[in-house]
Amino acid sequence: MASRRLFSSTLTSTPKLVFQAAATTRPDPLIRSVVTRFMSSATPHQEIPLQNNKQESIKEDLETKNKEEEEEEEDEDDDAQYVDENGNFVNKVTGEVGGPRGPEPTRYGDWEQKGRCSDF
Amino acid sequence: MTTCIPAGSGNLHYSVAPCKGQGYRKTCWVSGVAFNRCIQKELLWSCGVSKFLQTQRCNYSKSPFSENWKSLRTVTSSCLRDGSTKYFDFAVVGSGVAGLRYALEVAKHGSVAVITKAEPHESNTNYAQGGVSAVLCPSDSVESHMHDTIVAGAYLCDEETVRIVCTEGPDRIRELIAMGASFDHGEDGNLHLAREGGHSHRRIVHAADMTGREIERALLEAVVNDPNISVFEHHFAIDLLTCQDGSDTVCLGVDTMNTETQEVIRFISKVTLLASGGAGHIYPSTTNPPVATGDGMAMAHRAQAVISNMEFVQFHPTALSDEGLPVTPTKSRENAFLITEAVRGDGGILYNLSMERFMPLYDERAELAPRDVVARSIDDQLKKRHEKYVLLDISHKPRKKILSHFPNIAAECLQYGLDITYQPIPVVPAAHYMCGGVRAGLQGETNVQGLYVAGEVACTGLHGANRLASNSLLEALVFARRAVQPSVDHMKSSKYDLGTSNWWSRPVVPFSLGSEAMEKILLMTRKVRRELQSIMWEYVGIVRSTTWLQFAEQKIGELEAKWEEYLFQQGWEPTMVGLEACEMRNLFCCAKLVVSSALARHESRGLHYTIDFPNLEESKRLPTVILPGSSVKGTWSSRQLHKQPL
Repeated sequence: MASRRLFSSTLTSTPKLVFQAAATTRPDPLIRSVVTRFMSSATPHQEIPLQNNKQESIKEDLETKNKEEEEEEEDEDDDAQYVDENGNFVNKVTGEVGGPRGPEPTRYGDWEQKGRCSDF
Repeated sequence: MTTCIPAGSGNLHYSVAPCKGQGYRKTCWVSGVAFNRCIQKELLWSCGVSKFLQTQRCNYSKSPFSENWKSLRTVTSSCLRDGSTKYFDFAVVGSGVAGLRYALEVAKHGSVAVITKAEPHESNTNYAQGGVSAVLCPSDSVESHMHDTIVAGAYLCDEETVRIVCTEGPDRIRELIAMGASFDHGEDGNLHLAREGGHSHRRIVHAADMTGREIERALLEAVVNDPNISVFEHHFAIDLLTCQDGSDTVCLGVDTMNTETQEVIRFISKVTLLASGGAGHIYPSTTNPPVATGDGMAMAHRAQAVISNMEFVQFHPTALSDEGLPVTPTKSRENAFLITEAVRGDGGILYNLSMERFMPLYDERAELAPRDVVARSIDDQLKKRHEKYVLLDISHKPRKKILSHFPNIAAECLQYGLDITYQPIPVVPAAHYMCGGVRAGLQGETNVQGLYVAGEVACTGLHGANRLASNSLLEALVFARRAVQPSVDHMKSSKYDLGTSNWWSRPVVPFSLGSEAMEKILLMTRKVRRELQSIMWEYVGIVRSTTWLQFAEQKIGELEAKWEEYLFQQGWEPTMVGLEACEMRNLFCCAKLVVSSALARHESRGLHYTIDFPNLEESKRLPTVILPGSSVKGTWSSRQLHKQPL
């Protein structure tokens, strides 16, 4: 499995993890060296966290660029939800009455409410 | 380890992890009565005690209980000298969905005491805000729910248990509705069913995103209105009261401490249900409320109950890390704030503190890899880099979208000086659910007569190596209900008389120690708890290794010895009780159970991942079982208070 790639690739033989009982360092020389190799060849997305004002100007650009996309998505959301005669919020897509507004809580597998995951 | 027999016959076959120094054989127990005459602690735990048992057998009264048990109880309690012993037909430890559901049912047959260590609503149930899974749609099927459960459980589930839970689930939901729990409906008037990760069909029943709270509310209301049920809030359960009947261990009640009045209250009951929930607080970051200190698992282990599958601890990969917030919260967060997968789904990127994007190193799906892969990757990064948290960055997305989709996260972070539309979110994995626990049969029975278990404290075989979303409330409901009939039968045939209350020495509240010593003990205990949590996170986390586990075992042993020595130096005596000290001994007990179990599993499966055995091994597809401890070097945490050596 791809997910095991990094962890298992080091174990061509039984690893002899050198460990000193009293030491506070973690005994993983094999994995550490593999990770270091990977790390140095990776291209980080963002090297330094930007200052707030710089971020703000970049953010404005991004927002302008994404504005059309955003408006489209908002329209979709509006169409999907309405309030019925009893004042209940109804989700057109799922048919749920009195449920949460906005995107489906389970759309990415877990159960989220406004960003906080409450079950998975 | 014994030879392995593949599961699937409907019976649970064990790969046995013997306790240190003992082989697979029934270990030795000493009756409560005989204990008072016992001198040597070695005699308690060595096999030589079997001869001792023959000559020192408990003499139980053969007279059956009177038919008018209830009236007898009220007469008795008014005759008691100090009112510190209470008699009930059924004692329930824990007030979550399992405890309350059970209480409501058995209350039709006798008197019930619900014992809860804080407020009744303070339970993991209340925080389970997703939903309950059940087959409630005509196009869904029990087989499908079973399949999803078994796949999620990495094929370690007990098939019969899964079948029973998936089959009986729908009726349990209907009963909840009949009891007044209100769940969301669709426009067509039917229950609205959502579909969570791992489920191949829509089957999650929920209540306006507050499912756990709603179920708890409905059950509590019914409990409060039931004349046969007495709820004892702020009563911390200390130890189960057990004795020997031949080769059987029998549970006859539970000692508790009223933490408000500082009074020890002994409950004598014919049947006891443990529904005390999880043990998240063995880790530093957990979604569990503060009450979840593994009390039930520890008490059961001390009472000679078999424990199973403790290595399968479920973590959520991205809980908000308080350490990474610009403004440190003044009050330490009681339970972790989990950041939804939707943040990653919507394009959130994970970085380590050097702002390196690390997920592509572990999986080509990067941030969209399955949750357990993400959890392991984050854990690996933190361990390698000796850091406390990683960063989840969604700030490159439109501000409006972020605030519209994730207002909870935005608000929470803003409180502490973090604007998620500009800055990355500090996250760290948090312990969430214990798949393992006290080994339960198909009716919630344990190997201790008269002791039943339900809910997170139990290991029923449903979850296997990993819990499927929304199956935990379901398991609690089903097993709480199933334990009713055997409990009632046991209660009716119970033969112990009222004299039992004096069989065990009483725990003592340490008034004699003085406030200075108590303060020192409290401070040390809090410090030790943090140290234990740190060891567990560093060495018994999401990515494990034999060396780290062995190191943890050693470190925990040393820490426990150091703590106990300190306590006894301050004048603490083995029968003394205090909330923090008793929680600490339970945390030690659970931590050791997790470590032992993790060491015993020589494969990686589900939630248990070890770099020394990184693959699944078909021959190891068996539950881990821990038999009652018989180590000669028992610690304070490993023995019931009434069995402490003199």
